[in-house]
Amino acid sequence: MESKLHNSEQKYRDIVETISDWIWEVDRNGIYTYISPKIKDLLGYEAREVLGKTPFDLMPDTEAKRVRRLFKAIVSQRSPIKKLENINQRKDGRLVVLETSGIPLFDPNEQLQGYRGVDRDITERKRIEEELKKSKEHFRLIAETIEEVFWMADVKTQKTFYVSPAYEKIWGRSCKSLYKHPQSFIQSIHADDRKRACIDIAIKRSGRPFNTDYRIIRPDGTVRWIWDRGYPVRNKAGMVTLYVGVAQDVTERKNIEKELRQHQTELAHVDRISRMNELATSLAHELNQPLAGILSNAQAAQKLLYKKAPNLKELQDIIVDIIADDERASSIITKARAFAKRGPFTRTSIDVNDTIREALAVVSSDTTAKGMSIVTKYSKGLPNIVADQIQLQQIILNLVLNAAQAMPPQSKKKRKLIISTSSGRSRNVIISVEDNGPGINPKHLEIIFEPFFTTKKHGMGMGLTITKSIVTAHGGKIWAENRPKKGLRISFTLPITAKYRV
Amino acid sequence: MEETIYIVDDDLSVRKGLSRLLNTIGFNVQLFSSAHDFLKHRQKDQNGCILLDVRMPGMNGLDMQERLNKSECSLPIIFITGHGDVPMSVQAMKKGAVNFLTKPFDEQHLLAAIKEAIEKNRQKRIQYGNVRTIRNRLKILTSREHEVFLLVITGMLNKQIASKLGISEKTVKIHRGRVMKKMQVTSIANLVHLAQQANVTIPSASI
Repeated sequence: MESKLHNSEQKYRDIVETISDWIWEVDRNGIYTYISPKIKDLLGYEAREVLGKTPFDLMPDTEAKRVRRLFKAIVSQRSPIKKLENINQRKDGRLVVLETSGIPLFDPNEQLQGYRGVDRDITERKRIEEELKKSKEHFRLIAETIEEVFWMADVKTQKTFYVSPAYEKIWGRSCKSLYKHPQSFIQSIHADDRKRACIDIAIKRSGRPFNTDYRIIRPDGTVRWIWDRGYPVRNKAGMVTLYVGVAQDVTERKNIEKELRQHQTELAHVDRISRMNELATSLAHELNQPLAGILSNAQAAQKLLYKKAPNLKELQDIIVDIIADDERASSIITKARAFAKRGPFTRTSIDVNDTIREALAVVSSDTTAKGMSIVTKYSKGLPNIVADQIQLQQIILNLVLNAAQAMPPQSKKKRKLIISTSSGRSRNVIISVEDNGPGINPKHLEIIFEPFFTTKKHGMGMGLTITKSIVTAHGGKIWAENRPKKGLRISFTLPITAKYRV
Repeated sequence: MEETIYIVDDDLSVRKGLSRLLNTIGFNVQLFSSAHDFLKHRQKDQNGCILLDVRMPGMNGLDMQERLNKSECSLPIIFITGHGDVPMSVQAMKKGAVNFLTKPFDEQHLLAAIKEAIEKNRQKRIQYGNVRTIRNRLKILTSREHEVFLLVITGMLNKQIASKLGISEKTVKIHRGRVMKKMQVTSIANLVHLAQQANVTIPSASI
């Protein structure tokens, strides 16, 4: 019997001493009557150092005060201690958070004798909890105060399960309405952009990031431009489970862009008109050639008809020539008008080599008159680019006319211009115009594109500035360099696909 | 008509149209697509005129005019241009062009210009012919006769010539008579006129 009891006691002692929690007993006044050796791990004290003391002796003053009050209340109600969090100071001075649980002990007369319980170190858990709370708070603060709409969507259901309050401001609809009717998001997109935006956003299924823009129509009928980007989030197994993203109101930026483009278009138009004036002589010459042919042919025909036996074959030939000359004249006018037209900035898929050929046709009689020869080196199999054709022609024209003026007409050297096209490395096309003139001061290479920079006596200094603005508006780059054997080379790139995003 | 119209223009349809028109009227026409082409094929003493474009690749019309002027060409030039400005036409006219027509030009204007040019060409050829005749006559003078000739046209009297050349006045008279006969003139005034036509440099009179 005694050994049985002994065995059982030993068993409990083993448990008490091996579990990580600290086991204790206190009397009615809170004085420790039993302390398991684990206290050493939790608070750094030996059990005997703490026996006879109260838990409050192990706490900083203010904490002691608070917990003493709680303990008093628990004692008065004779209730158990349930996960009471309290801060204790270890022997080395460090503070730790303990979670105390205990049950009341009664004597046979139902009088409260004290408590028996465990203390568990929850410092680490508390720290993590605190950090989680903080980061949640941070997230909430960010999500709710930023002007951008922050959203999260489930990949499986394709439903947006979180959208930040900015949604209400930008979309003019409540977040709740979105949760309730996920389709309302698609419906809010401008009909013209809906298909494209949906295709872009549908990439969510593929697990790749997306980046798109679209217009939305708010319930009050106003239109806003949205720039929406989404990124995949993977779980530990590497599966994309959700998408997070930011949708931003870029209406102002789009408007400014549009205005800039408008200005750029106007500037380019003014430049073209002034170039046209420069080319007026050439154009008149160009146009008067077929007119001269037509008149001579017509008058020859008139004469032939007065003859006794008109040569019908010759009359036929004359008419064929007249028609050909007429077509030539009207194509010159069409080209000139297209060039001078003040159209909106329109981008279409164009063939770079053909576009350059047409530009050179406009300027050829002028360059011929100036005794300049043009050599073209067109790269074969060049991909089409998305650009405004007239503006590209304008660039070529500006560069050719500039070069023509840069090369002194009296020089004995034959004036030669080389125009070449090639494929660039980063999905772009490179176009170069180089002359065999004197080149320019290396100091000026950087600034020739600046407004009002000119080396000409009567130059405005706007030609290259406008050229650069056109290149930049297309998402390309332009630069100048002196050629090793004298002469200036100006090159520019144009991307194959237009960068229409902000 | 034996006159030929030489058309120098780089534009094929202009060449074709003009040649048809001029052929119908009855002119001989020769076509050249560049100034170099024309200069390579030209011969001396042609009858007719040139219709010359101003703006051409390579040598332009004005440069070609200059080249022809240097080589005593009898073919007058009518410029034809798609677009002419005043300074350009003034330069061309100063250098002897017959006319400066802006394309497209009417047949009547063209014919009037061609008529004027051909007349000019005829006179030029006569002038060039006369000069050749005078020079041929001058060639048959003996060296003594030539000496006497040069002194006569400066206005010297027989006596002065005799003392200058150290010969008798009678001998001067004989030489003088032969000069008049060989040069086919009857008066001193005519002799002086011929000398001028043939561009004979008159030595400064030194007595």
